[in-house]
Amino acid sequence: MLRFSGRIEAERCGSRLAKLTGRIIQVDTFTTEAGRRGRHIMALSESIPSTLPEDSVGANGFDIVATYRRFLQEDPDMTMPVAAIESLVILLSQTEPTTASELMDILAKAVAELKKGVKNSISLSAGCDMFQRFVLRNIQEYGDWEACRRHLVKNGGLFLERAKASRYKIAELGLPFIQDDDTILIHSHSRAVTELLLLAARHHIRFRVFVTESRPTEEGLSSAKTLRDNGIPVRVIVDGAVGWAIQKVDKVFVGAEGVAESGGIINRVGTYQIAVLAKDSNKPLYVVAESHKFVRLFPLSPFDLPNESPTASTFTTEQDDDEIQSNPLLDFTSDNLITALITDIGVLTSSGVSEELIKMWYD
Amino acid sequence: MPELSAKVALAPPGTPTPKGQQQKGKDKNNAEAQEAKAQRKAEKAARRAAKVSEQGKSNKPPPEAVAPGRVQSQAKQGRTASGAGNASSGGGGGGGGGGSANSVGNVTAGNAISSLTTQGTAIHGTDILDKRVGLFKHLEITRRSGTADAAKDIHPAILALTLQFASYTVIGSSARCRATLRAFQTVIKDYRTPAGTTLSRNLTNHLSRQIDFLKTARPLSITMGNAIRWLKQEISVVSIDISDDQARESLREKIDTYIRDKIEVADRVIVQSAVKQISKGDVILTFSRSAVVEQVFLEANLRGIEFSVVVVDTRPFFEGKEMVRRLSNAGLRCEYVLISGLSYVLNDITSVFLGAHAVLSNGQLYSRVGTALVAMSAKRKNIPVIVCCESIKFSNRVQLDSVTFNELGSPDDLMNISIDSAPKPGPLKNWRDLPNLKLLNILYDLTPPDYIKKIVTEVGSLPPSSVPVIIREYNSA
Amino acid sequence: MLAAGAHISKEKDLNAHIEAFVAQIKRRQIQGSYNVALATSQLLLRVVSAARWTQIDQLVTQIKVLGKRLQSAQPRELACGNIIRRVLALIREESEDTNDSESGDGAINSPLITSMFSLLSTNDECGPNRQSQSLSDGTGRSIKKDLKPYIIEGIQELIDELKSIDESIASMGVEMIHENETILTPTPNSRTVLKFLLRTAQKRKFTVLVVEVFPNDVEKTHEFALKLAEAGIETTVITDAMVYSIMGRVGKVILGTHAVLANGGLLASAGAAMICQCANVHRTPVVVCTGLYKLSPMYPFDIESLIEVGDTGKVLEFEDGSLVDKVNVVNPLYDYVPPESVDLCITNMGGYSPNFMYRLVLDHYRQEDTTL
Repeated sequence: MLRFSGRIEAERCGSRLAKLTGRIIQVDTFTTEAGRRGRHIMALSESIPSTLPEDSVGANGFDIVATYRRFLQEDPDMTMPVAAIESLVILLSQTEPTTASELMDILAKAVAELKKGVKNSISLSAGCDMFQRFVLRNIQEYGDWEACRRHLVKNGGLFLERAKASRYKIAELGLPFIQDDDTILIHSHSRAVTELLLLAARHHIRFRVFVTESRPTEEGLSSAKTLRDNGIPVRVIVDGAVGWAIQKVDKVFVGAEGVAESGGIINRVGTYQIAVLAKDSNKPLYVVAESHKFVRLFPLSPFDLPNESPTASTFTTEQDDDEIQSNPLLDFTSDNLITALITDIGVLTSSGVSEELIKMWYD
Repeated sequence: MPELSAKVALAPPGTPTPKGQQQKGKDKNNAEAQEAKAQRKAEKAARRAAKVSEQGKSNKPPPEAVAPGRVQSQAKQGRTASGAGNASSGGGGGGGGGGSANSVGNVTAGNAISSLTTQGTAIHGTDILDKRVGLFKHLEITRRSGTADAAKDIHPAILALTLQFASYTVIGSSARCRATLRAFQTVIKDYRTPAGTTLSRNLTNHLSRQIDFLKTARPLSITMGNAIRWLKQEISVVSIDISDDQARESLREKIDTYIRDKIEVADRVIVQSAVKQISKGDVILTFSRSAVVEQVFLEANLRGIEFSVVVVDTRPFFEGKEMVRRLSNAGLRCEYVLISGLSYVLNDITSVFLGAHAVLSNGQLYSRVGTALVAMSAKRKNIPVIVCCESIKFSNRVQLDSVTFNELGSPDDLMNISIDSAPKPGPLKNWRDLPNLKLLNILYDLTPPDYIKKIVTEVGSLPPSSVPVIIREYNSA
Repeated sequence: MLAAGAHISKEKDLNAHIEAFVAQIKRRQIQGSYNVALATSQLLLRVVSAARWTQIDQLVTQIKVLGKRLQSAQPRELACGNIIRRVLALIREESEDTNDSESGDGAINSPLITSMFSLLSTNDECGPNRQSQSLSDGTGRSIKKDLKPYIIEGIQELIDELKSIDESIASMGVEMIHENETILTPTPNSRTVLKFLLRTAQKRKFTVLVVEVFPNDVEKTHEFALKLAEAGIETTVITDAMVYSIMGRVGKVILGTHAVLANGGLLASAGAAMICQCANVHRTPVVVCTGLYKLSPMYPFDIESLIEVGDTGKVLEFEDGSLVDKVNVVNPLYDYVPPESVDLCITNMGGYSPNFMYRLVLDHYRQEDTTL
């Protein structure tokens, strides 16, 4: 198994990066053969799906949406993409496809179902996309889809652990960004940002944090609690007070639900206005996010995102009691407002994000 | 560099040391008495120097002004031109030269009182024209070095002042305006109306000739222009029924009032208003030296506000050095940096205070070159930029860039690479020999209104867009 | 026995040489990043030639230790660390290539860059000590091929590259400057910019505005202007303060740099940040000329610590004693220019947008060497 995925890395690097990096990597004849086979399978997987029986997934009575929800409920530390990946792993463990294309098809159906069943699907779709690409890549390059399935099923629990480890790695990479006597502004609640701040506190860096209340979810309050419990001085401000506070702020950290192809981010509503204010005051804004949140979307405005709150832009003359609760939860912040992205694969500029995504989708 | 060595060698004995004089001349706090004293000293120095130079004249050719040919021909005509009292003689080379004892000066006289930037005051009339930078060819270099060519009717006070202007001993637009008005008071005091004309008619012409001579040192500042316009207006309305003595006395009083209202009281009002912008813990950045900004800082310090000042300075005048000296002597915490280090000090700055040479009708700030960079950098960091400026500095001119109208300094100032008063020619000392090499020395630049948060004047604080409103009110009043 | 003795004396020689080099860079006797880079690579050539190792990571450690020493001797001269890192990358590459071809299974244990798939691949590729582990895994096996000649050849190539850098950058001048253009340069102490302009002047007629960058190296600056004028280029010297007033008439700003950081930001001579900002305001393109040896894998976390402060006597004369005591005088030598101020970086590998510099960093350095 070890050799198996090491091979994947080698292949990935060998075939694509050799051009970019000018490095010469030993690639044996196997590559080209695998490549050819891969393309063949691709063709298959594109043509076959519709011919498969509709109920092949439902047949074994597996409910992917419920599994996904259960994961998120049971472990508050789990991010949506990881929950999606774990759910797909469970699915794989319960099905026994007979061909590579059937495997791909089962995955495709489950992903579609999951995206349909969950309201806020951007983040989870990043996980699903990556999972599908990974499986496809393996099949293309080695043809041994069964080995791939076994690998994924066997290592199911590992991914979660790794996702958590990657947050720690982000925190380590991000640590030098926080200095003594900093005043930091954070928005809402982000596990990666919290992890980073806690690590900084453990390193005895003294800093203060403004936390936005972040209506309507008020997730900022839980961030504030976590930070205060760990001895970090915090001031919670209402979302409208960011403009008041920004002069006193040295840097802004936000998390992300998804990082788009352009390097822009999809995050809790309010991020965009904070980013605009930060830009206006020339304060750096750093996005702290795991690389598994990179998603192949290229929105230009929040209206290009899947519409999760359809009533938010309707106008009424009568009072609507659900008005506040039916507000949008996400907005989009474009890359020109972001100073840098602190991810587990390094501190990236916007073109770094698109490079990773291009490499993942490049055949 | 023959000019340099000549100047140093020929400095007449007995003239006050440059430094001492400069400090006295510039001291704002005991302005009246000190100023008059300095003025007298300068006049004396000019006269003494003239004597010395007369002795040395045989081995030193007279310096050339902008148009040497014209000066010589006028010199031959003697004082016919001055006798006619030609008011429209233009800005060029000044009147004819004369041998009369009280008005003759020489290059040495100019340099005797020059101090801050002494180098290269004498310029070869021909090669400045060739060596001017293409974009700025429309601007004249009018820095004179002596008063040998002055007409007889140019008052000694004006001669002395001209030299002080030329050597940048009197520098800064308020200071120049005040010194000019004081000199005019002396001129008016000594003025006798010739037979067959009236004071209200002839004094204006007489003053115009003095002003034309002043212009040969440096172009008039906006403040001087405004003050002169006002004074001529006042002269023109002097009643023909009162005696000359009464008229002279009334004009003297009016000038006193003008200086008091437009500069001294105005400054006090500005200080009282601007000091409110300073609070405990502030780090305030300022550029070069502005008299009124300096007073704002000193006042804030007197009030016990704990703050510190960063003075950004620039070649070739290093005016900020004087600023930082005065502030630190008053016990203020100061930091001093040249403009190339601006971004390094900008991070902790809470606000920027700037002075002005003039504020133009379209809201542009015309001030010491470098101001625009400071304001731009501050704006980029969202640091508020506050301009302190008397309304006498408002001009109804409009201008969009720093090229169309500006003042050229001597290019030789750039060749000197010293940071103190002793000149030290650098590798460019022979720059005139290289046809492709030019040195540009402009004195002002234009700061666009969007970099300026607020202008504090004696008539209140206003945004740059309101400048024309004040100008209209000012003119109608 | 005799051979061992010879070896020891040779080692002594080398140690003395290293000692001297450290002292030199500490006292700033080697000036300019180019000279430092060249001297560092020549030193490494000697070190590698003299070094003995059985496992490649011994050599790596040895060079890392040396690198650490050089860096602490002159922490702000990034070129030194850059060359060390490049040589380290070179060594790792050579050893991986060998392992690769000899072990036959072709597994490369340390991937070129970690990537999004790392979440799903096998365990020991994601652990925090993956790199060092994999390195010793890879090199634990006996090495049949002697790598030394290959590494030495690599360093030699690096030295050749350094020597031809200005040439390859200068050749891009005609693509940057058009006839009758006005160029402004705020870094008149840059050798690279000087060569760039002189070379381009053979094909184009243009005007150069030289900003003085007072007070540091002002003699050099003026000599720069003299050299341009002597070469027949229309040259005008202006003071730092005049930049804003004339920027509207400038076609391009061309600057040299002290270091390029991983995010595309620069360390350039003092005043450059302000001047680039001024160019941005006037929509004047800013072009940076830099050799690859100036590219550092560092990210500008703490800008102030990167900026060297010079002799304050150049700002305020010491004889002005009363003032010097009371006033805090600052004389920064460098400025940090943020990547958004720069439009193009011309390197000896071609022109790149500053936000692509991270890619060049990944190409030339290994992540595990970022901290020496």
